[in-house]
Amino acid sequence: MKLTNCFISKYYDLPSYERYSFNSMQYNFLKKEWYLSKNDIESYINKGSSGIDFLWQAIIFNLFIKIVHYYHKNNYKYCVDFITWRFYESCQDIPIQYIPIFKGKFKNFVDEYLLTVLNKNKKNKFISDHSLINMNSYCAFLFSIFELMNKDCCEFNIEEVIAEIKDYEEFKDEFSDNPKSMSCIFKNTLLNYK
Amino acid sequence: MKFTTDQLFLSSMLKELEYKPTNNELSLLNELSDEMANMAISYYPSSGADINDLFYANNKKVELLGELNPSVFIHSDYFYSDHNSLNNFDRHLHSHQIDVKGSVKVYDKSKLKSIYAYKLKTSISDDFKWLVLFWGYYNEEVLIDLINGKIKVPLIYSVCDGITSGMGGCNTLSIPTITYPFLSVDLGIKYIITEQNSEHIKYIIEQNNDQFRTWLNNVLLVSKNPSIKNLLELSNKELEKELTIRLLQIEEHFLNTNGRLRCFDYRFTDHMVIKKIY
Repeated sequence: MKLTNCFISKYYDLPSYERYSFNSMQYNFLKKEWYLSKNDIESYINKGSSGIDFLWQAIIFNLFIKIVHYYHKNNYKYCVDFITWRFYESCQDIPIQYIPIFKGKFKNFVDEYLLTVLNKNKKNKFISDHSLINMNSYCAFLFSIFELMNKDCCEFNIEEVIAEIKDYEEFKDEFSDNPKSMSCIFKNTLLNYK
Repeated sequence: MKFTTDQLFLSSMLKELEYKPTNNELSLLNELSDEMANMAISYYPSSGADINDLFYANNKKVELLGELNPSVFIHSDYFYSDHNSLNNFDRHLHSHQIDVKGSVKVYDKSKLKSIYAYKLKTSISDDFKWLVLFWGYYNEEVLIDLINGKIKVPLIYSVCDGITSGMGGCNTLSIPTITYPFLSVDLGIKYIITEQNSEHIKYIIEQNNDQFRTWLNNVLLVSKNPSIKNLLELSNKELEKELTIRLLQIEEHFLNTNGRLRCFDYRFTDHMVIKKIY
C-alpha cells in the first residue's frame, strides 16, 4: 500500500464541498471537505477487499493532511505541492492549494460510517475482520507517506510525529477511547508500529 | 539622519503617486530600507499573484543558491491588480499561512497603479520576509529604478516570462527575462530560477530572431553595460549566433530531478532550472 496516481485521483474524486474555516492564525480560509453517503460507502464495500482498503487509505491520507496542516504547517505547502506534482495528473489545469479532508473525525469514519452504516452483520464482520488483519498495513501506509515526503520534499522526524499524535489538542477526539473500537485499535497499532 | 521616502529606490514612483506616509508607514518603510541595504533581494518580473518564490527561492529548498537566502521579494506585474476586491491579496497571503505583520499600500488616483509593501512571517521561517509589489507597472520601470538606486538583486525568479511566454506584447520597450543575463552587471544578478531552460531558449532564439535587436536596444535603455553596444553592431546573423553562444553557455541545473521537489510551479515544475550567472 503506497501513494499512487490512481489513489490520489480517486481521493480527489470523492464528493466534497468547500466552506470557510479559520486556520491556526485565525484567518478565514477556504476548506475543502469530503464525505461519503451510505450508498457511496456501500458501493466501495461491495467491491470487496480493494474497496475497504481504499476507504482506509482515504481516511489515513486525510489523517496525514490534518497532521501536517495543524502541527507541521511549515511543511504543508511543500507536501501539497509535491503531491500535486508527483501524483495529480491534472495539476497543470488546476492549481490545488488545499487537499480535501474528511468532514468528521477519524473515529466517525471507521467506527460509525464504515461499520454501522450498513446494518448488515455479515458484511460488518467481513469489514472488521479484513480491517484487523490489515491494520499493520494501514499503519505502514501512513509511515510510507511521511517517508516519501522526507525523501523527496521536506523533513519530518517521523517517529516523533507519530508519537505526538496522542498529545495533539486538535486530535483529542479523533480516536475513540473504547479499546475495542477500530479507531482506538488503529491508534494503538500506530503508536507501537515498528 | 531622519529617514524619508527619498531614500527608497521606489521614491520616484511614490512621488508620482503623490504619496504622503503616516508615521507608522514611514517607520515600516524605514525598516524595509534597512532590510534592503543589508539582506539579499529577489526580483520576480511579471509575477501575477504567484508567491511560490516566498516558499522556494531560498537556500534550504534550492541548495545551489549556496549562501544566498533572500529576505526581500520584489514583484511586478503590469496586468495584475487588487482593486476589484479590497484586500484580496491579503487573503491570498493568509490562505498560504502567511501572517501580515505590517503593510503600506499606495494607489494612484485612477487606481491603475499600486505599490504594496508587506512585512511578513511565513510558515517556513522564523525570520521576517518583505514583499514589495508593483502592480500596473512595467517590469522595465522597476528595473530602471533598481539600477538607478544601485540596488543589487542577486536572484531573479522568473516563471512564465511576461514577454516571451505571457501577455507582454503591450510594451514596445520590453526586456524579456532571457536577456536578463545582460543586466547582470547592473543588477548584480548571480542566479536566475526559471522554466526557460536552454532547450526553450534555443526555441525562442529561432522563433524571435527578428526581435533580438529590439530587445537588446531595450536593455541598453536601462543598462550601462558597454558590451551590449558591441553586440548591436553585429549583423543579424552574427547577432543570433553570438546570443545563442552567450545564452546557452550559462551553467544551468534542472531543479526537480530524481523525483525530488525543490521548486514548484503547477505549470512548469518539470522544466525549472537554476542558472548560475558569472
